[in-house]
Amino acid sequence: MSEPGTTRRGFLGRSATIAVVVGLVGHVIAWLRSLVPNVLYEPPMKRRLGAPDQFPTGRTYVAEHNVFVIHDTRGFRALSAVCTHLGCSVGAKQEGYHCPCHGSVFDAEGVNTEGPAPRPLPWHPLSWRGKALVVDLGTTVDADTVLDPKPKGGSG
Amino acid sequence: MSAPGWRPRDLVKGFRPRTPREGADAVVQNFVLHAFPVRVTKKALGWLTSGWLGTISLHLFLVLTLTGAVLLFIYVPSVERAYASVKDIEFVTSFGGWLRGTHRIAAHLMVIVVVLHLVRVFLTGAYKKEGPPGAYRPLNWWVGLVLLLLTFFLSFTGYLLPWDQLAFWAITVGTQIAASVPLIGEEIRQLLLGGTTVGQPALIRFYVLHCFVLPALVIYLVAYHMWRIRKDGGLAATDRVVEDAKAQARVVPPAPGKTYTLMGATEGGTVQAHTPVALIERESTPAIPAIVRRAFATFVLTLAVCSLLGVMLPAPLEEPANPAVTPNPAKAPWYFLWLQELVSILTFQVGDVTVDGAFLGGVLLPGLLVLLLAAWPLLDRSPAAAVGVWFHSSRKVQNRVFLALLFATAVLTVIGTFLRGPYWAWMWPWDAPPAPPTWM
Ligand code: HEM
Ligand code: FES
Repeated sequence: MSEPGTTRRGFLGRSATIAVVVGLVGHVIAWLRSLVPNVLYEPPMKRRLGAPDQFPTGRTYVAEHNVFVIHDTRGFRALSAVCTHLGCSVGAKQEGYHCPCHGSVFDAEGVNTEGPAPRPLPWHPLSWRGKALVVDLGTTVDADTVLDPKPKGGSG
Repeated sequence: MSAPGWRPRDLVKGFRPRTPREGADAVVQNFVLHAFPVRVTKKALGWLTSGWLGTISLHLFLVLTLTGAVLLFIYVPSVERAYASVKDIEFVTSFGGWLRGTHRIAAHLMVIVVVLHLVRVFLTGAYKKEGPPGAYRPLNWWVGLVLLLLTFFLSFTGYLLPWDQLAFWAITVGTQIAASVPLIGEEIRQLLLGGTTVGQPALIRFYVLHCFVLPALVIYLVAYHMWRIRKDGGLAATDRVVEDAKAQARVVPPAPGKTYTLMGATEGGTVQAHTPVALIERESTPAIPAIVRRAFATFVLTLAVCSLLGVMLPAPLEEPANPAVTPNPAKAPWYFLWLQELVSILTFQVGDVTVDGAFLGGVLLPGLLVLLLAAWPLLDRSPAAAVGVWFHSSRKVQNRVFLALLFATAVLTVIGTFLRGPYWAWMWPWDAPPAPPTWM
């Protein structure tokens, strides 16, 4: 019995080939996996915006965190300034918002009205931490979620 | 002839052969020259055959590698220091501004020249499957397409390194386009950025891609590109010369003693001994020094143009990256503006469904364009007689389609470059630039 596939030499040869291929594939997988970070050293998504008196009635742009804080009779809301098209920071105009990158226009409620942006600007939930406003950029809420203008105190 | 082993002067042996025989010998005696054939057709050497555009692309790549290597010693790939180190190169380092300007202008020229090279290959039908036995030029067309994409990606990654406003917003928009891919988009974006936001991990990733991974791929693929030209029996224009000679029965079988068969004297022969080129005396000439001279001349010219333009058009540096403020308008480099135009105009509403321009213009259309170019050699039905001929009459229709696509891209680029003002709004070049945007 010396069919090409059944000799000892053939068996060893095939085993060696498989071992080498598995080894190389293993390396490539390890290389790629190592490029997916396990820990992100990025700022947390909950950002402290400061005391409410920094946000007079109307809207205030917090450049550092890329949000507009909107203060009206009902309370506080936070509108993302990150354009839903490709992520540029929108600027405020008289009524609504305007994106410098490809000209998307949003109305005062952040709804896209012109240009390439496919979705409205998202709203982020606000909460109190002590006497300071905190925004959570990691989650979104609907446009009607308003934070009561009085700090409740306690933990945050 | 005693056998002295190796002598230092062997390094330059054959660069200036005194006899055709010395030139032919150089191909196997000199490492640098081994890339060349023994004989080439005069046609293939002609300036109007290829424009030497591929060679000039390679020279530009060489200029980029050399100037880039020097910049590498000064540039610091950290978000805190990258901008300052580039500013240092620009204003403090001796000759730094010139080096940076030369590097940048060579990058822009490389994009232009590589595209022109593709256009010339297309219009001369030099990518066609028809060819001498053993030839398969579509392979080089595909390698070339990858090189084109690498050239774009090299430009894009290099653009980010100064970490100025331009860099920051280009990476923001560029990676967001990647994120518009359905299902796996966000994963791709995060793999590119090494995180969820544009920061240090993103900078180091683009830095390593720009300085090592992409140039290494280019070097490897260019070597393969050159080797394939030899396997394909020389430039496509050679086919016509050989066919004509055959038709006129002027092909001389290789006889022992002919200079160009010298290398073929060993048993089995070598490539150059049996390529069709070697069979036609009258239309061909020793490759060395003919190619060496022209390659040297085009290199010197390329270097001179880059050096001069590097002084005349210094590389710009915007304000340091500021994640809070997007410049207005925020424009990509000019060769990406046709894409920026596409992503801007292709969002539209069908009933209740919004078609996302980012995916359509940033991923799908360019992807289809590349696929179309890749499939073209397989779809091309023009006869063998069209290989290596400018504007062959049998290719009229496909040349028009190709040029129309090229023209559309050019028009979009011109619109994006000159006719778009703040907020990407239409603006004639003679309109006064509007008042600077007010940020609350
Ligand atoms: C980094 C970019 C590139 C470099 C350095 C390069 C280099 C070269 C060189 C030196 C030649 C010899 C002829 C000449 O000088 O024109 C050549 C030929 C060729 N190139 Fe490229 N090339 C590049 C990109 C491309 C692209 C984008 C394509 C097309 C998709 C392409 C397809 C071809 C083909 C098919 C040939 C053979 C042409 C013939 O037989 O006439 N190359 N290339
Ligand atoms: S990123 Fe805002 S319109 Fe494109």
